[in-house]
This record gives sequence, C-alpha cells and structure tokens, in this order.
Amino acid sequence: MDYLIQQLLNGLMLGSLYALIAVGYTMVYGIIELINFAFGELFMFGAFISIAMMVDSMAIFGQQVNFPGLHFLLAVPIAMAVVAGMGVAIDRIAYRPLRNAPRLAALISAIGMSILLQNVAQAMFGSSQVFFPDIGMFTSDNGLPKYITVSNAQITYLQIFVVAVTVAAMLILNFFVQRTRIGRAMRAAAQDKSTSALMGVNVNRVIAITFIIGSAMGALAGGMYGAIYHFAKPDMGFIPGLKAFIAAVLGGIGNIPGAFLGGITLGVIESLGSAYISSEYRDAFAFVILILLLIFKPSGLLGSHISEKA
Amino acid sequence: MKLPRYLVLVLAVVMIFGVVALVGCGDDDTATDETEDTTATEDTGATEDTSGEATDSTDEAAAMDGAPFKFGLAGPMTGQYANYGTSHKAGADIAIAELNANGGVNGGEASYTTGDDLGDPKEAVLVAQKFIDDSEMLFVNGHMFSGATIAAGQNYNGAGLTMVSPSATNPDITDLGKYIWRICMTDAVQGEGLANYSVNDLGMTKIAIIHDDSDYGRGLADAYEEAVVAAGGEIVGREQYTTGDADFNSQLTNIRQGEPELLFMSGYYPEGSKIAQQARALQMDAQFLGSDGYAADELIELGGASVDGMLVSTFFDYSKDDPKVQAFVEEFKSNNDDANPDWFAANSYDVIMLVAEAARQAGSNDRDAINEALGTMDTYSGISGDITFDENGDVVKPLSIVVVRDGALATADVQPQ
Repeated sequence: MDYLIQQLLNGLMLGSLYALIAVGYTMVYGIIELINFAFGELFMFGAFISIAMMVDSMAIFGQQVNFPGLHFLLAVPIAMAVVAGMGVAIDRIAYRPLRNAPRLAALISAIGMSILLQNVAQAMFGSSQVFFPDIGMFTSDNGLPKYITVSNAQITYLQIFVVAVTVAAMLILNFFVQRTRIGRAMRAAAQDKSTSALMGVNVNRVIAITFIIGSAMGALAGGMYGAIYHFAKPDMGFIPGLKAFIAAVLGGIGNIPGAFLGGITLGVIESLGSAYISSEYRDAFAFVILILLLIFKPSGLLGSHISEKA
Repeated sequence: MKLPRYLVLVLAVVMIFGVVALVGCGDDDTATDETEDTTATEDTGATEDTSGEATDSTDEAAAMDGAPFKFGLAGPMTGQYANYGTSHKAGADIAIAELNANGGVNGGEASYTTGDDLGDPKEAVLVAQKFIDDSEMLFVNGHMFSGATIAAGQNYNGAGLTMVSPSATNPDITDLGKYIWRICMTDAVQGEGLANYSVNDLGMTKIAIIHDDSDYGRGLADAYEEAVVAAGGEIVGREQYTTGDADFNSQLTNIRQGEPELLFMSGYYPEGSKIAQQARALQMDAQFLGSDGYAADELIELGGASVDGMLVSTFFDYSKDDPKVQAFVEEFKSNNDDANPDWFAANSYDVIMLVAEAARQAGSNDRDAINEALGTMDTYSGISGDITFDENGDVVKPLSIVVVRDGALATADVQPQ
C-alpha cells in the first residue's frame, strides 16, 4: 500500500509538469490549430533563465556574466515573463505570416523554430548540463531536500510545491478563460476566427495572449523541472515536450481541463507501468496509451465533453 | 495582417538563418574535422613529434643518438569523441617530456605521431596501415574504443607491431594475438571485482542494482550481479533506465522495497548524479557505489550533497598518496588549466612508461624485442596501479575505489583486497 502511494505521488508530480506544458500546446492548438513544437524549447529556456536569475554569475557565450542571484520565487516569474515575450516573438516571426498558408507550412516552421532555439541555447549555455542551485526553503541543513512522510511514503516539500502550483495555475487559467472578457474572446476566436473578428474581437491580440499564457506555463514547468531534477541542458525539452503533446492529445487537444487531466493521467500511468510491469518500457507506455486512445477515442478524454475548444 | 510581404520576408530571412545555422553547424564540424585532420596527417607524416615540450627537448637530442623510441598515438583526435583523444594526447605529452628529460629510452629520443581514428573502425584500419608502414615505429599506444581497436588490432598483430590499448574494454580484443595488450580491465573483470569488494570488503549482503541501457552499463551490471550471488550476497532489486532520462523515482521506489544496504549504479555520471539525489529524497540510506563512468568531478558538481560519501570505481585515483601520481597530477594541471586528469590521460601515460621500461629491459629499441619483454617483465608500478599481464595480454591490476568527500574524489578508506 505504501508502495502504491509512493508510486502515485511520483506519478502525480511528473504528471503536473507534463500538464503545465500541455496547456501551452492545447491553448495554441485550440485557437490556431497549430502544434507549436517550440514549447519544449521554451520549457528549456524557462529552466535556464531561472538558473541565470538565481546564480551570481554564469557563462553565456563562453563569457562569465554577472547575475542578480535572486530567490527561486522571484527567478521563476522573471523567467516566465522573458519566455512569454519569446513566445509572442516566435508567433510574430514564424507563425503569423503563415496564418492563412496551408497548415503544413506552419508546422514545418514550428519544427524549424524548435531546432533553431535548441541551437541558440547550445551556443549560449554550452551543451553540457548546468547545475540548478538548491532552494533554501526546500533544502534542509545537510543539503538534502526537506520532506514529509505520508504513511511511509516520502514526499519532498518541493514536490508538494510543484503539485500545488500546478493546481493553482490550472484553476486561475480556467477562471480566466471562462469568466473574463479576454477569455470569452479566446473562446470565440477558437470557434470561428473570422466571425469573431467581425464581432469586434482583435484576433491577433487574442492569439498573442494565448502565446503569452502558453509560453509562461511552459517556463513555469521548466523552472520547477530544473529545481526538482537539479539541472538544465539544451536538449532537456525534447522528451518532456513530446510527453506533454501526448498529454494534450490524451486529454482532448484544445481543452484546458483536458490537458491537466491528460498530464496527470500520463504521469501516473508511467509510474505505475514501471512499478508493476517493467521500468525498461517506461517511455513506451506513453506511446501505447496514445495509440490505443487514437483507435478507441480519437477526440481524447474530454474532447467531446465541452463543445468550445479553448 | 499589415505588410504581409514584409513579414514573409522577415520569416524567410529567419528560416534561411535557421537553415544556415543548422547546416552551418554541420559545416563547422566538417570544417574543423578537415583542418584538424590535416594537422593530424601532418603529424603522422612528420618524423618527429610536434608537441611543444618534446620539440623543446630536441635541443638535448644531441645526447640521444640511439635508435629513436618512436610510437603511434591512436585515438579519436577530432570529431564528436575528440575529448577522449585530447586526454590521451595530454597524458602522452607528459610521458614524452619526462622520458626525454631523462635522456630518452636506450639513448633514443622518445617521440610519437598521432593517428586520428575518429573512434571509427574504418578509419582505424587506415591509421593502422600508416603506422605499420613506418619502419621506425616501435609500438602503438591505442586505440581507445573497442570497435576501432578490434579492427586495427588484427592488422597490427598480422604485421607484428605491438599495440597496447589504454582503454578498450571489450573482452575479445586481447584474443587477437600475441602483439595485442591492454592496461584497462574488462567490464567483466571490473564487475566481478566490484562485487567481491561489496560483499567481502564492505560486508554488504543486500544489494540492489540500477543500470543504463548501454552495452557498458548492462554488461557491467550482469557481471556484477552474477559475482555478487557467487560471493554469497543477495540481489534485492535490479532496475534499468534509458540514457538521458531525468526521473528515476519509479525505479528507485521499486528498489527501496528491497531495503538494500548498497546500491550499485552502472552507467555515467549525468544520470548518476540525479539517481543519487532522488534516492536520497526518497530517504534511501543505502551506500552508493558507482561504476568507472561516475569517476568525474562533474558527478560532485551536479550531485551536490546527495553524492557525499558515494564510493566510485576508477582506473586512476588522482588523490592517491603516491609521489608518482602527484607529480603527474601537478604536471597535468599546469598544462590543462588546473583540471584534474581523468583515467584516459593516466592510462596513456602508463602505456608509454610501461613500454619504455620493457624497451630498457630488452636493451634495444626493436619491435620484437619490446613485445617479447612485455610478456616477461615483472609487475610494473604505474600511476594507475601495479600492472601485470596475464598470458592473454590482459592486465591484472587491482581496482581503485575513491569516495566523494569534501567536494572531491578522495582515496576510499576500504580498498579491494
């Protein structure tokens, strides 16, 4: 029983991170029907910028650059803001000119962006791993993480923090999309861009906001992922990005609660799969689930449940 | 959608930039390869070593009028594995400088020519041919990777040119013939040595294993598991992960079920540092034991407090309290920006010093005499440990165990008996 609880907690934590990146995929897809493959790289930049804000100095393009050495709780929001700006810029440069082009063109552009960003990161930060500093409030005096014990299962403060932040972010986001004016504009644009434009919705602005939110969520996930696993590295976004994409499809792409559900489900399945079947096939579980889902319920878990796509 | 043409243009420029950046990267690699290849070819073509220190010593060459002590230095000098070749060369440079400062070998000046095999068996064969055709060449220090070593080794053995590999661990290599030697232990031998260390020297009975999915990681784990059971220990868990993974909580939760006293990690430090962190976060208090892939200062840099007290197997202990070792470390640091030498540099140095000793015992700088002497010489005490060859040309050498202490790798209190 303790064993099951521990594996569920492991899965919940992993799933939260998938869910945060999946939100970006799902929101952008909901509005412009584009899979923005660059989210994995924005996630990676989120981790790197968080590190940069937390350390006193760090090598950028081979030069030692001084940084402010801020607290984690301040560093991550800064990373989110910077990455949100990057997200908007990517949309402006690589996707907006292709808005009315065939969808394949935008997809190729997205893949190009992803590779470009990875190369830029490699040039900036080098290709080896960079250590993510310990966070004082989550680390005990002996340098190991603080934790609590729930019926013999261990969970660290940081893991609790990650799950709590994810849940809070999802609730705020849901409120934003369902209850605010901009949220309403988003949902309208998702259903029909040209008609909502005729009704006075500034569609490009709505899309820009979507990119801001999606990218900021990716950066938040990146910062927390870096903190948990203590590293950042230019290709770190590839696998989590792919898993998040699966999570988004699993939950029903275009659906925000779906992304959350999909992320958590995927994390838990991976954990239980490696616990009870075999850890050698861990990565395969995600893809097996994806294939089964596409065969039996192509719209995803919540895909047909809610009619609007945002 | 104002100025769509302008935006399309911007996009086009960005895409072209992206493509150029990508292709550029590839080109860069190729360009570097080519330039360095040329250098390497020049090295190979030149009759004298081109390394700074050895060139300095040509001033003293007047005193060294015997047959030259010349050898080939083979390994990946350029390309994606160039860092191994760099270490290989750094170790060799120190050996050459030391030999020549002491009047060479049998009165002959020590020098080497590099052969760049890129870690690729096809290239290795070409390098082998070049070395074999050079009649002054006494032996080859290399190759480094098992695949390249097997391919080139067949040619060396056929031509009667001695080859001593500092680092190729595949068991089949020394079966190629009597001219083929190595001074690193095979994965099977290391696995068995570590198992005996765990059970007999550390007194651990409940042991768990976590390993990566490479031939190295799995092969070592297999040998270890078998030997632990043979030594009377119990394997209470064994898990695998994919190289490049970051989350090991599921595997570690499985392992924790068995309540191991010792967790053996077979793989490389980038994952190892995270395994240690996550295991400690799960409140596992088992002793950690890492394979030689963990023996790097980066393990400590990335692992932080969680790797404190971790035992690591290594082929070279840079903190060993031995004047030979410390002199080498000192020299290496002054040549290499204060970095600690890795075992590739140490083994390369040992290969040269070992063969130089064999040449002295043979009394002449002659291919066959040297090969003969390698087989008959007594234990050679190198910086990587005491080296003795078995009849197969494999090394008989004790394992070194280091421990993470105060942010560095230090000699462990308990050494394998």
